[in-house]
Amino acid sequence: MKAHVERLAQEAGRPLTYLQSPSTKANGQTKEDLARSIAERDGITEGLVCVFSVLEVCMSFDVRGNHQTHKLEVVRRQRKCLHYYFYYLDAEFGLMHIRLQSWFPFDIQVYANGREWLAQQLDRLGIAYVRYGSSTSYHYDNKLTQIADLTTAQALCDKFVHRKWPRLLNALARKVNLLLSGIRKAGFGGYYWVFDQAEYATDVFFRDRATLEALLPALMELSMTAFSAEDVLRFLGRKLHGNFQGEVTTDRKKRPEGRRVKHRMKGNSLKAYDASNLLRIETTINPGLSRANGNPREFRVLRVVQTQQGKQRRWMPMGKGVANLWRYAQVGRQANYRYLNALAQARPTGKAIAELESLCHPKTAQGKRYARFNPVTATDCALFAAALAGEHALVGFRNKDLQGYLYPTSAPSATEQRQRSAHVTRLVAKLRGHGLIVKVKDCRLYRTTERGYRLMSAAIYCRNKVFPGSVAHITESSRL
Amino acid sequence: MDTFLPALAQVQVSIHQDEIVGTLSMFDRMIFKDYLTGFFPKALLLPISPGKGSGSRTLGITSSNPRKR
Repeated sequence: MKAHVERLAQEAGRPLTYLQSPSTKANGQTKEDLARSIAERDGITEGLVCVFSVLEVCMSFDVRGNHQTHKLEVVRRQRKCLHYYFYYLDAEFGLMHIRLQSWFPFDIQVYANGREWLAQQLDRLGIAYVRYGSSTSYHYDNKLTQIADLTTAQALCDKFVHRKWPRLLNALARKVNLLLSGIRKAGFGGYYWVFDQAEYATDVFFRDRATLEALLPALMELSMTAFSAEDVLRFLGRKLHGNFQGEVTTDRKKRPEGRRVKHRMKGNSLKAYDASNLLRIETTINPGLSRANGNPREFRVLRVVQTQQGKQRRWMPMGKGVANLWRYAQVGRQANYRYLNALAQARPTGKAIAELESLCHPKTAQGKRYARFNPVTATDCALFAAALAGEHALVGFRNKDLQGYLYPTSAPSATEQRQRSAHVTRLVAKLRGHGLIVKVKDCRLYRTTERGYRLMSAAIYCRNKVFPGSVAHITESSRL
Repeated sequence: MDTFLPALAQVQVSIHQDEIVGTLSMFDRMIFKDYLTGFFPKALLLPISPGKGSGSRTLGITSSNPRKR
């Protein structure tokens, strides 16, 4: 294997460098930075840039004597061996690398970046873009801060998930692993490709840095203080139940590039951070971690399974395989959107505040009159908060769900229960009358409308932030 | 489940529509890893067991003590 790697580098005329210590972000210079500087120095635009060899820990085999059987046995254990990092400037993926373990079973890791891929496609189509960090002193970054045609860029990204990934990855493996055909002949089969880590990011492009900075403190404050563990679970498409064994944590960091808030759930995470004029929401799924610390099985995928009634479609725990790549994208996008949606409560714009006025007047729709709201009162804001609760972002809410928020204790009698139910029915009708929620067809579910998100979040913001507490108290008294 | 997502995506944008140019959703870092499909059955380890000679050396199996290599 070593001779093969040396020959590969020699044939391409590229350097093979042994690194004495791991070059990581913590050390100040990553291997990627090193490879990029070599590519720039030698004017490499495509093909192999360089190969690094590093001594790292791996899972391999060893031969040990068994004292009971008095025979040698092959055992699997942790060892150290050379790992080769092949850095390529690929025509499709841009800068990427393949990590090859030099001992059996010759594990391979392939690292690619979706933004790098997008940049290559935009170059090909002649769509202009600005790359973050290219004009600043920060290290190279793959964030694209401006794209001339965002619609086309998103259409390209949507196609990305439908690539034939096993075929593509096998081709990359054949490029670096000479022994692959020998391994197949020896009866070990081919490679089964899985995700080790997948990050799915939604970038929100603000007009400029100043606009984002004006909003950022409110966004960070909201994400740190307003979201409960239950909300975080909901963003990630999970429901809190009695059997959930895990921890949900939230922390904040300040970096030279900006600020970030990260919510963790069993090794998977959801984070928000800023860079230049970008607000990025990123969902990370970590199949590489142990099952207890995080794996994609926290999420579900629709599969055809064999049951007693024949083949049926069932929501099953999501596996690590690359065949689920489309679902990883779907889960990531859903989580990002739910989170963005919740963040929309931060500092409403003038337009939203002006629209609040419409809630303060009775409304007549289809011959029915709906009473006004008072957006600064605690009762109406509690109703709005219940409708906007993170858990309702998934499938909407029912009358009973709102009751759970508005009445913390259970009803002492059946009569009281009926009265509560009737009261919430009237409130739901009022919300519908003002266009804040809509009914889902053929079921007793309601979902918040776009107008609802805008106005109800603005009302909550006004009550909690703009409206002084003392005045709010007076208003409550006067209403009573 | 995706049917109402486009509407959800618009919420943040519509609330801050004067400040936001647009959004883009895409994979960022992706790390793929491989497993050999015929790896785990013990019987398949026989072709590379030490008794079989050259196979072990070819496939990287060596002494337990790395210093002796």
